[in-house]
Amino acid sequence: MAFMIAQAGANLYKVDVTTGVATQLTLPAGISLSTTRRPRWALLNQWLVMVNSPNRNLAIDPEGNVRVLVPRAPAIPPVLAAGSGSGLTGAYIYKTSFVVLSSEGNVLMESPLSPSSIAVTLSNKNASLSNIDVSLDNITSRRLYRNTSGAGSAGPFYQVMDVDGNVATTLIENTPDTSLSLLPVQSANLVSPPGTVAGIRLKQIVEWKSRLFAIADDPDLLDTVFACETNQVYAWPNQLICYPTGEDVQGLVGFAVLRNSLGLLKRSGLWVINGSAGSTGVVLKNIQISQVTSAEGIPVGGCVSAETIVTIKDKCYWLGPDGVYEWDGVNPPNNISNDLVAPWFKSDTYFNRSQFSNAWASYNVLRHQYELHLASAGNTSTDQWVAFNVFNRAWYGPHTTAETTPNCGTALLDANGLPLVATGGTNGVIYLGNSANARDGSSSVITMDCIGPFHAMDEPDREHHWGELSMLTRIEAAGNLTIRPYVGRLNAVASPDITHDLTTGRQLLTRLGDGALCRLRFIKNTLNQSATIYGYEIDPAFENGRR
Amino acid sequence: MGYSNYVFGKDGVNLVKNPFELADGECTQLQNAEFVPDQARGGLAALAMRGGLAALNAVALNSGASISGITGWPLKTTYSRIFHAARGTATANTFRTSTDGATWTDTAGPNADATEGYFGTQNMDRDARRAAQFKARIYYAGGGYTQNTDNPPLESWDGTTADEVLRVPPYPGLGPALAITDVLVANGVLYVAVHDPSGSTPNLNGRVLFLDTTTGEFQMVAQPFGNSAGQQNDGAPACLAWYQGQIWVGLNNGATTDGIGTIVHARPGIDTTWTVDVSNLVSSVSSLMVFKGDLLAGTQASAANGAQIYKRAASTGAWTSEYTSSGGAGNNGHITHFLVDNVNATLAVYAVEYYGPGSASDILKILRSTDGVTWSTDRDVHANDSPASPPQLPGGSLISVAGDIYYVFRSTTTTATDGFIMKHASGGAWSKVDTQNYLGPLVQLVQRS
Repeated sequence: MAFMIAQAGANLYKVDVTTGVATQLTLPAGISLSTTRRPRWALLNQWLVMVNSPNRNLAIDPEGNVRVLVPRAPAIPPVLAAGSGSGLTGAYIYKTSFVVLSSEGNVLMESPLSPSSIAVTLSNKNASLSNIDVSLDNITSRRLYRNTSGAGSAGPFYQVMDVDGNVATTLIENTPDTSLSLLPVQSANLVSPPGTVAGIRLKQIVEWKSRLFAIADDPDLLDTVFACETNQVYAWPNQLICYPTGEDVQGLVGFAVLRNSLGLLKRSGLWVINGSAGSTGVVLKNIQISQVTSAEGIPVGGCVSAETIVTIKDKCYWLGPDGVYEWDGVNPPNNISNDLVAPWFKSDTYFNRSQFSNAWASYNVLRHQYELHLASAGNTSTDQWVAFNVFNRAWYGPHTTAETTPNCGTALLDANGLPLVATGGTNGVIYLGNSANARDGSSSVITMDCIGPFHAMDEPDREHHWGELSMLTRIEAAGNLTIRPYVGRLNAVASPDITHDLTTGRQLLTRLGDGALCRLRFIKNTLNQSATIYGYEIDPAFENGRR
Repeated sequence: MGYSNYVFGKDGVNLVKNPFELADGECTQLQNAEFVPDQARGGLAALAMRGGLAALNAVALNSGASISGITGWPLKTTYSRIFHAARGTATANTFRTSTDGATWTDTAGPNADATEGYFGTQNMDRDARRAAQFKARIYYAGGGYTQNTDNPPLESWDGTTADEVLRVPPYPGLGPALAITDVLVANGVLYVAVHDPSGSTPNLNGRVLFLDTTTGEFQMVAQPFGNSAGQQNDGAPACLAWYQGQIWVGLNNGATTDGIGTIVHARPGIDTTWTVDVSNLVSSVSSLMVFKGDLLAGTQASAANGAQIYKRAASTGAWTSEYTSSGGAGNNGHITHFLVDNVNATLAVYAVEYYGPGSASDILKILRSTDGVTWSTDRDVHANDSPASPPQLPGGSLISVAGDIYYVFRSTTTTATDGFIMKHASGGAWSKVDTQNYLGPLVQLVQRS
């Protein structure tokens, strides 16, 4: 079986992609999901990390158990005293952390370390520990660290043992220095990301090169990228700054993930972290983050909505303030809407541009197209979408549906690993696209409405005779196609509709009339009926007076 | 002269050109139309109605609340849990399985478990003899060998394929190992307790080894058990636990001497010798379990005293006796098969108390405690469920994700079908759910789709 995770309202669900059966997932105590902030997801090391909508960062394991991403660190150190037994001589300091172990004993999560305990000086005594902190999060053990005799509070600290469970608060131990773990704990790596406590949240997160990269909504860190250690979803010691800082109230908007480049998108442009082609990871120390500019040195390719960033075959697509950009990681981002559909994005005729920040997009693998959902002019919800077909590099739309308001979407795989595209509606229903059913949902008509070019026979100023229309279409089991001709000048009114029987495949229809120009509009809006147009002929067609 | 257009919509929407510049393949609106790269539905240069949106979930999520985000979850997200209880070898069916704990069916897929006959000496029938679930397989002591002639196999089963993982190599100078007495998954590897031959009570021979199932590394932990120089005295490994970052081993000394029960521990890969944590428990140790940060040990009865449950307090490191079987000394008395219930609301631990003189004094009880100190009878199996005298030995235990608790009790002979499985439904009562020639262990195979 294959699944998807969906947030509906303030609840989280695991949805079987085959059956549609949804199982609500239990959130940890104290966790709530915002209904006004979209969830953002990233997969790493078999954990699905969820941020932005939850009040604390979450991690979902392959079985659907939801935990906080990083347990909060122990607030207090253990209290030390000399025990009645023997074994240790010298001054010792202890620290603890909270850990989540798999059933096989592997560390899944570990919190930062507690403060150092007050040192206890022992003379061939064992150490008696009390007040070992218990966690308010769901953990499996407390991990105990200790320095070697006399090493001082600076450490290094070595793992001594795990105190099983989250109950016991006392312990006797006398592990010799020589039996501590071989390597000290890398405490500098055990850093929690924003969102570990409620308040500041991670607002965007992606996986790249086996690390998670995230952006927080901390108003002072809007240009900072947080990155975890390789394959350690709980260790976030890395911060990268995308200079200049503070130049935009939004700061970083999102990430453009390519195989060997990670794009950092602001509204004002694109910055890049490059990885080497042969490596599976990336070294973040002293890494260079450079802004991408055009050949003329002008910053290009800003992004206005993180939800519109989609990677398709190692190219990234997103909505910028003036259109849709395509980026291959080598060349500067290219505006792919300018030459074809610029008015969609540069005028207020078609879409409500003030809602661009709420736009979202998904990849329709089977159609190989980037589908961008926008609010139509005068609306605030993403009630329409347009599609850029990567295969023929053409735009289609705007599309509509009477079924619901599409609110989110994703590309995913079914149980057989085959591609799907899913759309979440404002009605609580998830839809799978590309259905052969010529309807949306169970009863919503799909209104196909295509307006063709003006035909002028290269002489738009001359009057023409437009003869009989011959339609060639795919043979359907039933149904008609409505053809609405416009004959005249640019302001020609529609002539009476013509009906084409879709069961015929080819049908000779009525004469279209006389006028300088002729354009055809094709409408199909019958439940459970589709239409495919191969083409048409108008015969005879000639310039009046020159026949 | 006519006009034809067979590229309608081919070039998509164009709102940039002036109306007279538009090519035949360009449109100004293509609402709900798309290019379908499929000749049967359109093909290149044809225009088709877009595909429909098919509702996936019949019932709207969260009463129709808006879906604010979805993501694919291409992980091994489907886990099926199948209980496996080993049978004796009367037939080709080696195990019985169940997915719900109520209906049990035979399977001949897994290789046979090590039968009672391999544990007939040196009180080995009171060893833990567990199986372990690890990486979508179960691991257990196999029965496909001739004791004292062949090396005992470690078997695995993933629900489809049975594999003999390895044979325990003999300790130099000794013959083939007698039996695998316990397996435990901890610290990312599989620990295997082995009882070796030729020892004499109380310093029986044995080893604890760990198996890295990824690399195939199979190596001994610390030192061997035995009576020779460089060996750890006081018994052969009988049960294992992972506690405070170390492997802990309860020893079976094969004797009835009172007060020599021993538990040792070591850090795998670090320590070269075992550290004796306690050596004065009433008798050999049959079971170890971590509960609420403390370590519990269930022992055999000695010649002088009944079987007992001990607790090692983490706060002091001291062992205290918390429960003594009322059965008294000897007669195969032992307390074993600890099981921690960390699923239901109340954290609790279970164990089986056994005492089998074959008389009115027989005891077979499932005990329960919520603190490791105070123990009460949760089910008197001998009174209610076991018809045999002496009672039938416990063979294994498990808890399901739903919080149901299961114990298996062995049949009186290899072929007798009087072995049985007891179930304590979460929030319910104990009941017998199946009978067969059960041998144990009882283990849950977690399969990933």
